[in-house]
Amino acid sequence: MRRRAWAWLALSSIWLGALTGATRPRYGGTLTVELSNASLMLDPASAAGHLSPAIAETLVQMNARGVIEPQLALAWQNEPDNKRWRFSLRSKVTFHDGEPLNAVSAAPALLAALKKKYGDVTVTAGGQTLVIQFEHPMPDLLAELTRPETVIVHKSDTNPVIGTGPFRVVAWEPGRRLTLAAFEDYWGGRPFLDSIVISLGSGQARADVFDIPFGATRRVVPEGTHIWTSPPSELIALLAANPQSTLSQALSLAIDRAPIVSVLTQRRGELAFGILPQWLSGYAFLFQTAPDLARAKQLISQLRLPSINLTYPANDSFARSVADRIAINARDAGITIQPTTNPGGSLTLVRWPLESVDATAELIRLSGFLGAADRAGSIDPTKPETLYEVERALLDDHRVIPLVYLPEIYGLAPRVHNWEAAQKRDPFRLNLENLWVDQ
Amino acid sequence: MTRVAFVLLFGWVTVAIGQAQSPPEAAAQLAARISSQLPRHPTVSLELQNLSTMTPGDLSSFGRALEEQLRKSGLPMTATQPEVRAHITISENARGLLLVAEILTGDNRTVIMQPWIARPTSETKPRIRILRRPVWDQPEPILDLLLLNSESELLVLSPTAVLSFHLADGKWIATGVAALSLARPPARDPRGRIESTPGGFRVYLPDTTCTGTLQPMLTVACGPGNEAWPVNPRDPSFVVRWVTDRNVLESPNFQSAFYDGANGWFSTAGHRIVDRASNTLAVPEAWGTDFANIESSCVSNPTVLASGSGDNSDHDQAQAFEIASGRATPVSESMALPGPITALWPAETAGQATLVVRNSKTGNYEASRLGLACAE
Repeated sequence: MRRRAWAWLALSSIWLGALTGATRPRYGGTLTVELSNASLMLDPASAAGHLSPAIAETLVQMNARGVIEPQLALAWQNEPDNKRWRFSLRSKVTFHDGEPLNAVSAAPALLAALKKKYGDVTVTAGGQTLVIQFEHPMPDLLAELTRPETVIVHKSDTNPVIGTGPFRVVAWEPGRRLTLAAFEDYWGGRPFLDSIVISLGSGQARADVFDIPFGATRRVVPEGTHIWTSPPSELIALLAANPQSTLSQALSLAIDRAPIVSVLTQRRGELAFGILPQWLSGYAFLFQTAPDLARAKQLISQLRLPSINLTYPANDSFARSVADRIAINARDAGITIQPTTNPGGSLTLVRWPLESVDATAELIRLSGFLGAADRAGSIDPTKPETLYEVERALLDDHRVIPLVYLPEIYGLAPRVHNWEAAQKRDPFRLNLENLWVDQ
Repeated sequence: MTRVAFVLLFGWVTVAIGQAQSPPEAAAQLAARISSQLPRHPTVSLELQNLSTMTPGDLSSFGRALEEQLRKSGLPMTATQPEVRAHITISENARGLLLVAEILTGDNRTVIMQPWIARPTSETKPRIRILRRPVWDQPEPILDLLLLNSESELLVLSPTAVLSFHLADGKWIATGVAALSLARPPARDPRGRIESTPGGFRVYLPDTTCTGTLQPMLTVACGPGNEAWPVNPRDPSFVVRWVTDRNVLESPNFQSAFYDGANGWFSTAGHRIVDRASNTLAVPEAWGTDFANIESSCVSNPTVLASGSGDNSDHDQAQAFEIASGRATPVSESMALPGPITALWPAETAGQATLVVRNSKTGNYEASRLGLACAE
């Protein structure tokens, strides 16, 4: 599954949402950022993750409470059958190259993005009105349109992403550096920062903002650095090739998650017994169980188990550590597990980053990954019990064994302001245009 | 758009929140759902667990109310050998509080969940004598407001429009909206000023100045440019103008850009309070960026109201200071506010200041009038 790419570096939808602390923000200055991931791309559809959120915007966005809000679209309406949706675009919005945003300029990017998933989609443009039509009902279109793949962009020979966001691309060296400058004509108000320089694949900690990944060689954090930790935003889990097997049931009883959290994440992670974290669902505590080695041994006592391969992502030292830990727990129960980076193992260690603060949307999405999209049909977003029941059923299959939730962690130089306020808009997205720095 | 009742006298007002439930109301709803699962009225034991940010007071109130409601619905409560155990967890998710009831009967477990929009804890009345009178709140930013015609008319300045209201039966009734034709997109930290004129009003925004009338109807005509305006309506000698695309002011009285000014002191971009000769005003650490003149008969020296300092977006504070001999001395206790101050201006009426706070819980912008009263 695709790693969420710097999802915290996102746009606010509306300038009305600009958040400030008690001290009035200051304009100007350059923010330097160091990210350990060198494979991030500008293309929002990139499987390796992307850096587009500060540059390009979607028609709508989701706020911290999972509610859809206007972004480039100010209003929308749908036909009762959910096949035809009409969007009214915000006026007086321009792309970074000066082209005005209207339905004609927005339609190509939107159509191309939607076509990749929905072959039956058509997009018609007239003035400031976009009509999106499907041959099948699309009740979740708004959630779909919050996804970064549907950003409204175009490109030129010299600029790979020309969007409408608060920052424009000045220079892009793939795998090395991205330089952004404030878009003076941004419809939501010029950002406070003059520019942002993002270095990729950096193991240093000399920038104003730098990520602190799990498992990698630890950065030496300068004195005075403020550490910011997001809510749990990524699930590390085991996927069993054969659901409902006695083996996966025994394994889920044998695994002791506590050492993973206390040792491998140094208490920065959270025990995971459910698919959605507690802060998102509110009911994850109901899934909590204690390891039961005796019961695990009993379950497999009649089986003659061969050695089992556990595939973990290559070049992921944290995943490797977790896989080794699982192998130890399994051995204690009489199960032989061999961690490997070779694909095709009976067990796979996966990283599932959350992409939304809407519990329903996340559960539907993750049900799809588990091949159980049909189960999600019974979810009623107004009734939390229905989410719980679907999640309970997915866990009872033992197709997925949740292990640990990880947060995103960043180091912030003392001169960076408004971080806390800006991240409140979305627990794991940050409005860079609302940051400001001392000079 | 939500409304806040207009109180003619200064006083504390709790903002009513639609659909919010008190602990007893939430308990009653949950008890009804639990009892509907137990038609044979077995004996029940009740266990409470808090995984939320709910205060102990509300938790206790909820627990008592739930037990009472379960009894009222015919379920005998017992602590020993119950037929049914009801394990209640006050949990929380991205949308707010979530009540989770696990009904355990032998090996059977039924789970009931109920979202709870809790009423915000009402503000406690401080011992200070800064008086706050809520006037208006709305989701869109409020940059400034004007109270006209013996405070029976209200003009609210937002970044893109002026809204007018008439007071009827203690409530503000909308009478008009006039969009502002802006020369540039609004600044990211939007600020603006509205002042009354003999024929109507004028609006000053970064790079845009507007003239408006109230009669026969609300109209506004805007043009590009940063015209000068007085920060304090009662001090025409101190005029300022906005800097285009920025949240700062400039003035012939001062050599560089600043956020706010009063009594010859300026709040600079370096977050210092200095005078024209760059002498620094000694202020407490808690002094923030915004401050405004406010007249008071209780203090002989010039008095200002100042915002709090720091990046905190959850709350802020306002405090009154007396300025004398290059030093700001608190003359009131700090008034806790439910979010950061986004505007603080001298009002058109002597002895009042306009305060706008972005409520961190509701997200709404809440405009109030502040006044000072002498301590007993």
